[in-house]
Amino acid sequence: MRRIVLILFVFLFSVPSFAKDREERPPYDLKRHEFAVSGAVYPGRYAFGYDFDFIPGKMYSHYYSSVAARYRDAEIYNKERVTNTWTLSYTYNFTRVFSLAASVSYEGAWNEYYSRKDDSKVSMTECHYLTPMLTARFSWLNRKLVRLYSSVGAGLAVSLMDVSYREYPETYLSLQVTPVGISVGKKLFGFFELGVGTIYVGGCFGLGYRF
Amino acid sequence: MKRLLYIILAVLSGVAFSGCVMYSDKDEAENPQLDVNDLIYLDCVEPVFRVAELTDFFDRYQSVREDREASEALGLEYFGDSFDPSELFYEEFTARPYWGKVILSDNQGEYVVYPAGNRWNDMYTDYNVQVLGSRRYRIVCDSADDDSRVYWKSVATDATVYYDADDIMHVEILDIVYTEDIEGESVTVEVTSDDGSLAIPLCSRGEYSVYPGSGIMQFSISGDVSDVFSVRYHDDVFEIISGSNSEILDK
Repeated sequence: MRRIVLILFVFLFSVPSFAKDREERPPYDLKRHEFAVSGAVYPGRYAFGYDFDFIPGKMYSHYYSSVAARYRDAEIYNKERVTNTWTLSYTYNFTRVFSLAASVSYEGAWNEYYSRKDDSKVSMTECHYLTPMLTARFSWLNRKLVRLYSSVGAGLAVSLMDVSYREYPETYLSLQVTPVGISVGKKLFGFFELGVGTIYVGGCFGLGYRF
Repeated sequence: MKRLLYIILAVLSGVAFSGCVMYSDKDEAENPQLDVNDLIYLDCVEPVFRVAELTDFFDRYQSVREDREASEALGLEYFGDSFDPSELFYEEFTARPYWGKVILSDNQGEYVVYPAGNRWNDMYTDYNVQVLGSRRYRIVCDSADDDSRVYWKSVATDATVYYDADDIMHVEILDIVYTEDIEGESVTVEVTSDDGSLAIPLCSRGEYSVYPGSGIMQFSISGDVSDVFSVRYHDDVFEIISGSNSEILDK
């Protein structure tokens, strides 16, 4: 109860001071265009799981419950490598609050199998995804140097090659939600976002230029 | 502003490096003998024990079958909640989900058992059980005796078991030959136990032992992969013995 009263107290007394700030602040310098590059961990497609877990060259599912598979599997070990997710984006700021971004993200991964006997590479499978996406962004705090925002995006992920080695590209629905993002800087700015989706699950760091 | 640029570039470099290796099982200990034991034991060895229990019940039931009350009491003693009186007939009985179905054979002193495990282990076989007297049984099967039932693996079993006065089942002879042929690789696994040491308690009120309480089984693997090892059972653990190496594992 005491905490609620305290929060209300702080809120009531802070509103007039914000209002005072607003009166003194010069007009907001809205830059319409933004270009940015970013890297994110953990990659979204990897996080939600493409199934790397099979014995190379043995696609027949019953093989897994065979004695031969138990011994073959023990002869090798595997390493999974990913590129994390890298994104190029262009953002158009309609107003200081609302903007729309078009982006392309890339995520790649390799599952490499090595012989336990001599560490030689036995086999490899790989996945590569390109994801064009449209993102709506809402800036809920705009200052000269700092912006806080949230965003939601939707797009299509195109798998250039996946674990099944299908010849044709496949497409998957791609969604990304960013509850909190912060950008710091004027023309040249850095940003950090926390989000979840098929682009990334976790954090995204980037560098951008607005004009 | 330059400082911000450097910080962001450093962070992005970190992001690039953090994705290098996400997972590796290089340092994980592989134990194919344990995997094979799990596979063969559950698919081929354990059904022998369940078949013996089902037959032992049904054979004892034959002598009291005129007395329905005694019959049902006997069924509950063996199978507990898995005993369904409506499944108990003079000629057949089914105990779900762990045991299967036993029927009187056309041959005197023999039963045919369809194990419950047929559903999932890809080896569609029935077991022929010969009553040798004094709760002693010979259990035989060969899933390859009917081509239409052979998918990609088969099992042939020949075992002689008996129950002592304490309801412990002893295996006099166990000889199981499992074969598989898949993706161009043929493997045969022979599991044997002939020293009479293998023993497992009879099921009681629906509770059953998955693994023997004592005894040893030899595994001999040949074909496209080969190996030889033994599995020795103790009360709570079992031991995989390969040459001079031994690994003790929880049951």
